[in-house]
Amino acid sequence: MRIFEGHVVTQHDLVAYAAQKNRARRGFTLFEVAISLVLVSFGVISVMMLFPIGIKAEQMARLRLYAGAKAEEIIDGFATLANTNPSIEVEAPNAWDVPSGHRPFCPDLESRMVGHRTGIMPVPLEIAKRLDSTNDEIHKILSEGGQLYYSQATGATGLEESGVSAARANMGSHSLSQRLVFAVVGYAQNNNVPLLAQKAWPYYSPYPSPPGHGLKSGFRNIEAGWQSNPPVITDSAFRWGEKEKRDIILWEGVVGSSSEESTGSLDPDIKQIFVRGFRPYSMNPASAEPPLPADPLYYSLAGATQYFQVALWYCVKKGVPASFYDPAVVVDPVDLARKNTDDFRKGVPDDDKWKYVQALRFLSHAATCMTKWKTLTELGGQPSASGSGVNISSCLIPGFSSPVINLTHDKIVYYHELCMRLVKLYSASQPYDWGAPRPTQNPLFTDYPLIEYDLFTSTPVADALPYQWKPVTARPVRNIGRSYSFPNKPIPSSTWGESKNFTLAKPFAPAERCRQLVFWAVDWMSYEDCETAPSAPIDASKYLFSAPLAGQSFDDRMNTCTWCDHHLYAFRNPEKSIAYWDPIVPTLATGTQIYDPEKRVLNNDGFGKDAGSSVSNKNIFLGLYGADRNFDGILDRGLLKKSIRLRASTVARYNFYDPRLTVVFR
Amino acid sequence: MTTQTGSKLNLNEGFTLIELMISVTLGSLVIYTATAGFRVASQSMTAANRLGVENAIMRAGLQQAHDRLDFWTDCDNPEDLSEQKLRFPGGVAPPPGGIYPNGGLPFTPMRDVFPLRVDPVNPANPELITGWNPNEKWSPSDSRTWWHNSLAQNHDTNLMLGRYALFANSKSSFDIPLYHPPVVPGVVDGSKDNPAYGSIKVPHSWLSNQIWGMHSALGFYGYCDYLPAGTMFGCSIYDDTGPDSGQMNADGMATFSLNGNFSFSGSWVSSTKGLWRLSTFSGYGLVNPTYPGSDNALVQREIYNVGYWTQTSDEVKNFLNKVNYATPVISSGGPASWPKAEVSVGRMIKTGRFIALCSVKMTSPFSGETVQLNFSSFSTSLRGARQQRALKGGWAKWDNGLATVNNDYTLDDTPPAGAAP
Repeated sequence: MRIFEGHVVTQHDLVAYAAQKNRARRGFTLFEVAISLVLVSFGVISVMMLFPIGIKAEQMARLRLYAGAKAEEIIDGFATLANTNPSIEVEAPNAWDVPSGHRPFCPDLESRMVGHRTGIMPVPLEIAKRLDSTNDEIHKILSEGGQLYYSQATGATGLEESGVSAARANMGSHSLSQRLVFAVVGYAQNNNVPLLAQKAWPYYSPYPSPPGHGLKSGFRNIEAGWQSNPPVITDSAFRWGEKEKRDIILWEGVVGSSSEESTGSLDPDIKQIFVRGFRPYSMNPASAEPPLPADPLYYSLAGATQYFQVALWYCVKKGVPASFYDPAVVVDPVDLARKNTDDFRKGVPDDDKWKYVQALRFLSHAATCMTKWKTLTELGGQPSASGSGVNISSCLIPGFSSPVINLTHDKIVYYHELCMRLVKLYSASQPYDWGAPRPTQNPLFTDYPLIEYDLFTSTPVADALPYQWKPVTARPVRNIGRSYSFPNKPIPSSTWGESKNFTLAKPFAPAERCRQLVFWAVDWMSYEDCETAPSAPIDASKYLFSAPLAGQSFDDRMNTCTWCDHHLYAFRNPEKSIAYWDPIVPTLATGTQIYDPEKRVLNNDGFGKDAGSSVSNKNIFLGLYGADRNFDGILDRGLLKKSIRLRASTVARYNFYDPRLTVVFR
Repeated sequence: MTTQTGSKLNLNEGFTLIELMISVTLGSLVIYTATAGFRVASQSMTAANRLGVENAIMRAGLQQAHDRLDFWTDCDNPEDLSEQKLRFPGGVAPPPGGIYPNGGLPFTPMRDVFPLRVDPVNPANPELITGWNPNEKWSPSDSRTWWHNSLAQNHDTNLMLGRYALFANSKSSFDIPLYHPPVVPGVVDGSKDNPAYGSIKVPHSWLSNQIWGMHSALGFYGYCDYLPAGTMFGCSIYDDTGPDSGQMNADGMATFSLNGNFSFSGSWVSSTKGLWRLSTFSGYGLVNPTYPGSDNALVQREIYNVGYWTQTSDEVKNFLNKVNYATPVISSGGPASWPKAEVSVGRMIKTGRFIALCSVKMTSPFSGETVQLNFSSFSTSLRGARQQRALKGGWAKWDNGLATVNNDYTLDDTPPAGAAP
């Protein structure tokens, strides 16, 4: 027995202590070490895993910068791009016959901004379907008919697409910027109708001017022979001051055969001004074939005088009072025009105002022609003395007697002033009266009436025809006449929907006009078919289809329009500027030059290999052979197999206002 | 005892070789893992920091681009006289009452290039006001703002459609003499003579004067920027002085062909056009102040063939090169390890659209890799930028909320005679 620090220690205790000490010296077992290593590794790896999160956060921050810049660019373009697309066909008796009234021009962001001009293109559907996203948002958009978009590799410079290659690309990081994909979330509203197929109002004409006429070659309906006796065709024409041998057709004032013929652009009296007045004076038939005798009226005082006489005849025919076309005294031309405009505003029924506007338009134009042939002195000086000026006798053409007047310089100035004042008042105050064209040189927002499709009256337009929503306007359209393109087709009153269903001017809640632009990040360009996958499905209205004419087949209509690269911004495949037209491209080796030695991209090909009814044309239009989507001029293939799915990470969301009207800001 | 002795011996035994090897291996593994982890952590930190720096610089570049979009300080710095190169052609202020032979620059004060004046004989007649009035509303119901000329009349035609100069002209009264329109430039064809008409007064001269005057005021970009939407860029003129005196045509339409430049590239159509048509086959830009000769009025009045058929790659590059002005995002350059970054905003007009093309470009000091972000965006108009600048220098004090506020005169104002700028 021992005493240790006051305790009794027995032999048994000593043995137990030794055994315990022995065990402590044995060390850890391999199993224990392994467990501890696992725990340590878990801790270290956990800490290590935190570091890439920092990198990812910075990468996401970079992508947000790119997304923000892209969203800014999209909204800028959405608000400031013009809708101008020359050389398109816009009118047809039925709305479905021409595409321009549908998607290409509607004021929805994805419709206006998707295309080669704006550099936003749809991700091929085959690839878009492989992308997963939170809440399956991308798939929902695709399943509802929406599209996923990517950005071209350069900034949207606004330059022509044929010059984009010279513009600066989003270099170095374009793989990053092109990793962004985006879509519009939320439904578009029922928009205004930017181009009414039945009559693409507003029609514009310079004021003053002669009756509207144009080149016969631009008037397909006449060429197709719808009318056995075309109203006016001449073989040699005055064309904006130059003498060129062109066929001219009068479109304003052609004679129809229905109750609408006396209104709008279908006033038969207008034809007489052209046939009896303006044409003989301004168009020289002497150079026609077979040779015709020179007309003494051509480019002469006699011709100008007769033009003026016929214009006076038209004033009388339309019921314009003498105080308008032959005022007794003209002390101050501007003051007199102001007074008569006031009389016009107060005293002339709204339904007749177009007649005054047209009468003064032609009268002023004809009177001004006289200043080529008469001097200020001959025209009574300034101010024009009473009883002075050029005596204009009554018209000698049988049936066209006109009032006898003295034409003075002050009257000519007064006619011009009154012409301008009447059309300005008429245009600004009567947007739904289409009896006279709007003045080209002074366009106003009221030139564009509010039109939308009535979504609640979808009765068939006629038996055996497709159903079609009917257009409805804020107020009934008066004096609609007929269209420039189809003067042989009346526009019946049954064309219109019910006014109670007009909503464009109704109050709305903010949420109704809010949509969202959503950006995701995903490396979709790493797919093996990133440049060989076909373009995403293209809205049918992106095909510039011509209006129907008798005897024309569907294929004919696919071939009729001219597909000028520099005129068609809202039409064709949105990937047009980078799409491959050559079927051989998908079979070429990776890295093959696309531009050299043969350019295999559709861009800058002039008038379109993608237009036409052949299978080849259609395949090119649809972009079946893929596109140079990173714009580097070579055929690329990524490393990822098609069978692999990728996850798209949400980068940013931007709310934006969804307009219902086409408006361009400055 | 034996047991005790044995136990003691066992307690003093060392590791076996196997144990040692295992422990060394395990220790090495731990050290390697820790080292690798540290290295990865270090690299990750470095990469994250580098990305963070790049993002910060990119953000700074974007912020500077937006600052330029709003305030145009890259073109004209109102607080630094040395950065006001686009104010006076050749850097020389005009003589009192004098005019620049080739017109002004984008930031030339209106007072010096298109001063507001009322007619001394008939000051109440608004048609006789000349020069730029920043408070003019351009009301569409005001007949002064209507275009009274002929859209069908070409420059130098036979006047078959008559003389529209009788209704509106840049001068209110003038004499129309015998005129020989040349068939081709420099060749006179007497068979198309237009006889003299006489001395007349016209009812409208305000709009023609604005169109003609602004043509000579700020360069082509400013010309398009200032005149309202729907402007017809043409008018009858009677002016035997100024930059286009050789182009005058009192009867017909001015071509505005200063060196043949402000026109439609497809020159076969010489009638008056609007902005869309004028910029369809061509473009106009504001030449940046660092471009050689940017203070030459003619350089600010150039046309660029950047239309579909007319452009070449070199022409597009030349155009973009002239309108873009890149400056460092960090003026001092920053540490050598930081990316070098530049920012620029180019301003141009194409197909009727005013485009402000922004660019932020970064170059890595290590790899030389370039990252460039280009985008177009909203911008203050040139007119807005000029009204931000006080005529006396510096930024203008301006408040439209209080009628009593004494706002500064801006570059667009013509102060009354004797008033301090």
